[in-house]
Amino acid sequence: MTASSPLLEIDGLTKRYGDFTAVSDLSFACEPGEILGLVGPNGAGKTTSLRCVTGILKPSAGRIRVAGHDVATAPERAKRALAFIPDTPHPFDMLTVTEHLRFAALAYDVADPEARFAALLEELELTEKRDELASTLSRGMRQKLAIATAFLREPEVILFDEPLTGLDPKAIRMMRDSIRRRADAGAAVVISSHLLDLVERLCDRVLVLHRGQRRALGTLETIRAAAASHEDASLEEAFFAITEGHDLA
Amino acid sequence: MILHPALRYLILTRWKNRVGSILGKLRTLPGLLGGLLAVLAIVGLVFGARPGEDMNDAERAAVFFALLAFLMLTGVLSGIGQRGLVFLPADLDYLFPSPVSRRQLLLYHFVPHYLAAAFIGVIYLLVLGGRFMPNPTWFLIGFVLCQITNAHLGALAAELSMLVTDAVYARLRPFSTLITVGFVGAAMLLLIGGIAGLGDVLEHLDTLLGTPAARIVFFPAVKAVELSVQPDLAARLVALASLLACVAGSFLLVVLLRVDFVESSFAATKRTWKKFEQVRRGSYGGKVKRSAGGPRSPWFRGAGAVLWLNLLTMRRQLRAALGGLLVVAVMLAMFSRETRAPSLTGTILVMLAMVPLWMPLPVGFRLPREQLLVLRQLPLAPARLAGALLAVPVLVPFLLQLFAVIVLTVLGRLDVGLAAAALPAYVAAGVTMVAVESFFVLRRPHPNAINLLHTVAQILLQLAALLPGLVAAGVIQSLGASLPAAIFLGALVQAPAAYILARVLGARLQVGSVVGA
Repeated sequence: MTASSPLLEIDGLTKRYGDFTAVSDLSFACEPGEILGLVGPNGAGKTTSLRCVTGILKPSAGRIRVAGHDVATAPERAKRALAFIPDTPHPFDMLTVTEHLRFAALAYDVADPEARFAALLEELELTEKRDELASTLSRGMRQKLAIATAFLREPEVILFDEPLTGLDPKAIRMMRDSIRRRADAGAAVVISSHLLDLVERLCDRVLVLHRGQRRALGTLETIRAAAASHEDASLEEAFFAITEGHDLA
Repeated sequence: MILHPALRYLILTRWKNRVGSILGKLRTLPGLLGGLLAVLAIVGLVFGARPGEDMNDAERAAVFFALLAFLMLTGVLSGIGQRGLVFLPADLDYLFPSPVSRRQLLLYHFVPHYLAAAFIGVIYLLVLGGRFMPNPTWFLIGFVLCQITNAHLGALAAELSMLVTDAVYARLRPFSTLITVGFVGAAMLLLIGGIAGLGDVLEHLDTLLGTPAARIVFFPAVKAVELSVQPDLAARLVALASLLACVAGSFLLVVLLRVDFVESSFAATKRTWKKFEQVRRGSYGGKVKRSAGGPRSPWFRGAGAVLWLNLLTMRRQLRAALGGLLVVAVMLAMFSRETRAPSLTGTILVMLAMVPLWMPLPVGFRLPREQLLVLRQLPLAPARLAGALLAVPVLVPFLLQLFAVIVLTVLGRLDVGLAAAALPAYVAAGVTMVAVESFFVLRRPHPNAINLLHTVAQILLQLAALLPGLVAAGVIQSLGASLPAAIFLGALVQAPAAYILARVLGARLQVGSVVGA
C-alpha cells in the first residue's frame, strides 16, 4: 500500500435479499485523511453498505478492500484496520466503561492500552462514568462508549452510522472536532447521516445513495452540478433535487 | 482450540459483575428476604424432594432417557426454527465487526451453553441425583456431556437450515412448525403421563425409546443413561468414551461444515431479541393490526374499554396461555400423587403448584407497567378500575385451572368436593396475588428492572397476603371440619382480604401516588 492508496475501496458492491436488491453495483473509495458523507433517504442502502464493509453482511457481488485487505478473503486483517460505530449501540450490560475498553484492547491487540484510557475518557467526557456498568448509561453515553472503544485502537478506516444520535449540543461539537482530528491524523472516515447540515460542514466529499444506487459522488460543487442546482445551493437543496428528481422520473 | 483472551475476559468479567450485582442486591431488605427464601427453597428441594420414589430402576432410567431425548430434539428443532445462532445484541456491535475469527465466535457462542449445562446438571444432581440415580457423579457427567452434545447439534441444525434458500424455507416452515408442535405436545403428554403414573405410559415409553432407530437417533442420550446405570466400570468407561466422542464429533461437524453463519446469526439475533423485547414490554403479537371497539353496554360504565383491551391483548398471547396450561398440567400431574390421599398440606401444595401458571403470564397478557400507567389516567372509580384491571388476569388462569381440575376429577385423581371447594379459593387467591404483583410492577423503577430477587420478594409478599385464608383453613380443619369445607371457608376469609387489596390498588392507581410510577 502506498501513502496515496485509498484506505477503503468498494467496487461493484451488490447486496440482494431474495428478489429485493438493497444495494446495486455501488463503487466508491475513501482516501486517507478524507471524510466521506453517505446520504440518502430511508431504505437507500446506507446501513447495508456499511455492514457489508464490516463483514457482517456478505455481498452478493463486488469487492471490498479495507487498508488493502480484501474483506472476503482476509476478513480478520481488514477488520483490524476498521472501526464501525452503529446508530444505536448496545453495550454489554454487565461490563463497566473501563472494562469495555480493556476488552477492545485485548480484541485488537492494542499495546499499552491503560495509558490511553484516561485521555480517551477525558476527551469523550466519560471519566466520571469509568466504573459504571453500561446498563446504567444514558443513550448518549452509550454512543460515546462505542466511539471510545473504536478510537482506542486508532483505526485506519472509521465508519459512523448516524454518529450524533442521542448526543447533546456540547457533545455534538466535541464529536465533530474529534472526527476531524482522526481524519487529520490520516484515517479515512465514512459518515452515514440524515443530518445534511453536519455532512455539509464536516465532509470533504458526499455520496448520494437512492434505492440502493449511487446517484452522485463528489465535493459539494460536484453534487450541485449533478443536481443542476445554482452555485449557492445547500446540500439539502441539491439532495432533494437529486432524490426527488429520480422519484418523479 | 483455546478461547481468544478477549472473549475469555468478556465472559469472566460479565460473570464476575453479575455475581457482584446479585450480592449487592442482598444488602437491601427485600433482597435479603428474597435471598433467604431462595436458599430455603433450594435446601427444601434438596432434602424434601422424593422424585421417582415409587418407580423401579428401569422406570427411572426410562424417565431419564425420555428427558434427555426430549432436550435433544427440542434443541435441534429450536436450531432449525432460529435459522442462525443467537448471540447478545452487544455481540453484534462489539464482536461481529472485530477481528475475532469465526471459529472463535462459535466457541464463544458455546461457552455459555457449557456453563449452563454444568449449572443445570449440578441443580439436577442436588435435587434428583442422590435418590433418582444409583451413581450421582456419573449421572452428572452423563447429563452434562449429553447437554453439550445437544448444544452442538442445535447449532448444527441451525447451520444446515441456513443452507436452504429463503423460498424453500418459507414453504417448509408450516410443516416444521406442525411437526414441532405435534412432537412437543406428544412428548409433554408422555412425560406428564409417566410422572403421574397414568396407565402404562412408562412401559410404552421404554419400548418406544428402546427401538434400534431411537437408540441410533438418540445415541448420546442412550450413552448418558448407560453411564448413570451401568454397574460395571468397564461398561461405564465405554459409555464415557462414546459420549466424549459425541461431544468432539458434533463440535467438529459444526466447525468443519464451514457455513457462513455470521449474516444469518446477525438476523436471527436481531429477530430473537426484538421478539424478547416485545414480550417483556407486553406487546408481543403486535402483528395483528385490527381495531376493535369496546362493548357499549352501560353495565360496564366505562370499564368496558379496559376489559376489552385486556381481552384483546390476551387473544394475542395465546402462546403464553398455552404455555401456562402446559405448566399447570405438569405441576398437577406431579402433585396428583399427593391428592390420592388428600390432606391440607397436600392441597396447599397443589394450590402452590398453580403459582407457576401465573409465572409465564406477566410477560403475556398480565399487567405491563406501561399499560398500568396509561390506564390509571382513566376517569373510573377506584374499585371499578381495579376490578376491570384484575378481571382478565384472574379470570383466564381460573378458566385454565377449571379445565385442569375437571380433567383430573374425571380421571379420578381429584376428589369432586375438594375440586369444588378449591375453585373459589383460586379466585380469592388469584385476586390477592395479581393485586400484590401489580404493586410490584408499578414500583419497578424501570420497565426492564426484573430480577430473581425482586420476583422472590414478590412471591414472599404474595404468600403473606394469602395467610388469612391459609390460616383460617388450617384452624377450621383442626376444629374437625372436612377438608373441602376448610378450604371453602378459608376462601371466604380470603375474599375480603383480596377485595381490600384490590380497592387499595384501584385507589393508588386513581390518585397516582405510587412511588416510582
